[in-house]
Amino acid sequence: MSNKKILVVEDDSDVRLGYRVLLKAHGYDTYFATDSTSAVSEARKHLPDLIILDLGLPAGDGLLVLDRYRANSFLSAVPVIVVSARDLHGNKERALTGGAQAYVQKPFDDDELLALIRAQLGEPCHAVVGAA
Amino acid sequence: MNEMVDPGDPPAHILIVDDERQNRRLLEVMLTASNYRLQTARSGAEALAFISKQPPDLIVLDVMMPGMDGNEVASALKLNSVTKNIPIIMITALSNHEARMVALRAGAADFLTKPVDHAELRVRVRNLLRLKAYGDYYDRYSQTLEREVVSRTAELRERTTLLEHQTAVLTDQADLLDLARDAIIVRDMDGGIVSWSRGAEVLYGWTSAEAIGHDVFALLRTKLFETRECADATLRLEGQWEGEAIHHSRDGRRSIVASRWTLQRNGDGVPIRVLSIDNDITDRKLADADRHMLTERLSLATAAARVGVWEWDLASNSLMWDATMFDIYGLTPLSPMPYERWSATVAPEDLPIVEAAQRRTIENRGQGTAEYRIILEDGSIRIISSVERVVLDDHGRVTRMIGVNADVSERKAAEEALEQSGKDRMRFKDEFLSNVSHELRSPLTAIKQFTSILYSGIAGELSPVQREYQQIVLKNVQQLQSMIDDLLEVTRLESGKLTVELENASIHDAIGDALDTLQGAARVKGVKVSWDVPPDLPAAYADRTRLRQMLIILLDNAIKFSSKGGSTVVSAKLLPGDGRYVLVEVSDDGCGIPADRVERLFDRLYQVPATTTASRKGLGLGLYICKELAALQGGEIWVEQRPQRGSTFAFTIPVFSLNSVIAPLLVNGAWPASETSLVTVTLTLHGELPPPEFREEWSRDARSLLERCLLPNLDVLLPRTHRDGATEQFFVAAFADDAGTSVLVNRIRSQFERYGRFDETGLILSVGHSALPEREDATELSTDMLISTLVSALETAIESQILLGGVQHEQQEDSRRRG
Repeated sequence: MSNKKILVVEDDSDVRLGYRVLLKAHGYDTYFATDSTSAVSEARKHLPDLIILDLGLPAGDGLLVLDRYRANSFLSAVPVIVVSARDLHGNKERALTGGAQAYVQKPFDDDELLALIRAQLGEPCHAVVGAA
Repeated sequence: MNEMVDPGDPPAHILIVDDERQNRRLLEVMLTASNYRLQTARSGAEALAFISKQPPDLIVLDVMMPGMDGNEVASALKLNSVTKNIPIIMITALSNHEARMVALRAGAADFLTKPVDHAELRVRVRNLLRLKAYGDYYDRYSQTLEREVVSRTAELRERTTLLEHQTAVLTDQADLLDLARDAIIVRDMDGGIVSWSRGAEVLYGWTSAEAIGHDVFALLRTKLFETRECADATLRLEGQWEGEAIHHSRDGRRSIVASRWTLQRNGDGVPIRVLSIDNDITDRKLADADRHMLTERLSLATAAARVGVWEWDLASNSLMWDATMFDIYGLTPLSPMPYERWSATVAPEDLPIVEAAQRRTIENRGQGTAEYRIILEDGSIRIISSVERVVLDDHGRVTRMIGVNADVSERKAAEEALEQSGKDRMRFKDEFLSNVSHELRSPLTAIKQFTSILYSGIAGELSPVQREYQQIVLKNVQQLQSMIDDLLEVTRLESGKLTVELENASIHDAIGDALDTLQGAARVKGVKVSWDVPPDLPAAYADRTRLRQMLIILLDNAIKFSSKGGSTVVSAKLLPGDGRYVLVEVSDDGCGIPADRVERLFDRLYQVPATTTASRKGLGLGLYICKELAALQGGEIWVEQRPQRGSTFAFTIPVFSLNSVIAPLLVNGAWPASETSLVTVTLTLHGELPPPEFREEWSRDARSLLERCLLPNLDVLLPRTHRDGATEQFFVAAFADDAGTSVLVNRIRSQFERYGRFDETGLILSVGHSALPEREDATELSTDMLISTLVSALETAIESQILLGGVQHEQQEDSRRRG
């Protein structure tokens, strides 16, 4: 297992913990940001391989964070999976046109999320399927 | 007598008729000296001819003539009224008595025997001429007399007729007097009734015999609108009085009468009697009062409601307005007023519409309504609601229009405010529900996360019982999640935000996907799910995701309501009797639905009340969503009770037909264009196939990406006609030449490449285009024909592309298998 770095931007501490446990168990190094300000600073600091971004964030909408990632030369190529409790309608399109690679509706299925992560990181899918 | 043969008179005209020349000559000679005007005729016929031309004063006629003899001539002359008085002296050779009698009977006045004595002839001629003159005078005189008598008789007759007529008129009038409803009463100066007409009998109820002698004022209990003294004074001064009075008839009924009193005096000028004529005006008075009341009420109503009344005379093009109209329009009253004074106040953009509506009303000879804006002098705008109706003359022509106007500005503003507040409320509800579901989803996310973590064993191995319990938690999370989804779905349905994307959709696939999703639930319940779909069932024209969603809702219900260990069947076939639809049926063997509940089953938030099933009910939105989705996709849904046990939910969905799907799209495009190309965008997935939800997702994303590359009206994105597991094809009909199409193809390529996501998920993009064959006779074809030609060209091109895509896909499969 490679130690790929994943930054999770999520304001709910319980959900953050859930990510930590799940992603760690699947061999990822996890970093966390809890609001839109730290979302950018943490990303610049750790230069993650993938970012999981919540949309409903304190101090600014997740879509604005996405814009700042895409405008940053170091971060513009980092795949972003937007995970949100917001209605799919409209938000998904905004996220994808804003440069996100995928949009996942909360509450999500662990296996689906892992499959997406692996696809974005260019890892073989069957490894995930096998783990499920 | 002498004066009658006055020498001044023209000489007497004597006709001599004899067949022998010497005799004629002799007679001529005998009479010449006497200064007569002589004429001779050689025969009876010639004599008659002369006489008819100019009757002579005397005829000397020979009896014995060949042809017509003297007697015949005389007889003929006596028959004619003009000639019958001409004296005839008959000259005869016969001296016998019989011959003379014949001559006398024939009409001879005198006769001479041949040889004629000269002196005798002259005496007889002279005498006869005198006699004739006297006769003529007498005739003329008697004729004059006769004429006078005739004319006097006629005059008399005329007078008699006139008299008769006058008598008849008088008789009629006398009858009328009695027939008239007017009561004619004559009273003496003390008020005692002297005469009481038939009209009085009818009006007041007393007979003439009963009334005569009574005091008229007491009998009728007369009430005047002025004092009796006052009326009497007027009567004495002016000889008559007119006014209204109230009388009571025998049965106590009150009558209002118009009364007219006339004073009659005797030869010495002393008043002796009063003639009064009473005309019953009770009904008219009441009607007047009613009308007055109505008018008052109407005017009160129109004033209170601020409704203005107008009348438009078409011939003079002038308007008559009531006070409220002027008030509404803020104009100074003017009556009649030119039409233009009104039309100038109407907002210029509204005027043509209002006038067109008026024209329609006139043409239809009916009633119309209009709503328009007027601009007042101060520049403020009011909204006027108008109702108008035509008025026809006796010949059925529209001569006038009447109508009412009301200022509805406030009402309109209130309506708009209400509508706005309705919209606000709706938006608020949408936002609220959206927020609620968002807030509900967040804790649910954590619950699901940790349950999954526990269940997967990441946090340590679980005992079988613990795993079973975690499974129950997960199942409930799932239920909660779908309820939240349903809630949002309904919000979207009601705000019209839910749209369907119709395409070629395999019913086979949709049913397969739905069964996959619900496999677990069926297994847990022990329900056997089977399906029956003919392999050659045509594809539907539907939204794949929505079709699957409907099937999941129906199957989920069927499994829920099936008895434990029961069975559920999904089947699809062409709708019997209408090959344009596919019929999909989901049957369970549950306890069925009571007949009285069936109707409300598809209503929002309706649940079949407590049944034997132990399952939780959910929000009851599923069937409502199904019904709305069926309608959005052009189908219908219903439920039937199965003969033995359970229910069958059935819905229809239109069959996909390229022609019917493409044709409407083209009508709105820039077709017919000179050249058309078909652009094919093929996305092929490499490697492991992701779950169906993901495939759906990238397919939708690709579609919206593609749509952004197209030029409206020039490029038409055709509905998806074909798809299989790993290949997705999109077709665009581009109304452009080769160069234009190349630009489009490049735009699509760069858009997809910039997006990046498809590369990373292992998708291969290929964009190709081909020109459609041109038709040489294109200019001669109708639009319909052109479109159907284009559609069939597109169909052919698409089919070949699908085949090509399929082949490519198979080759890739082959290569992968080989690798």
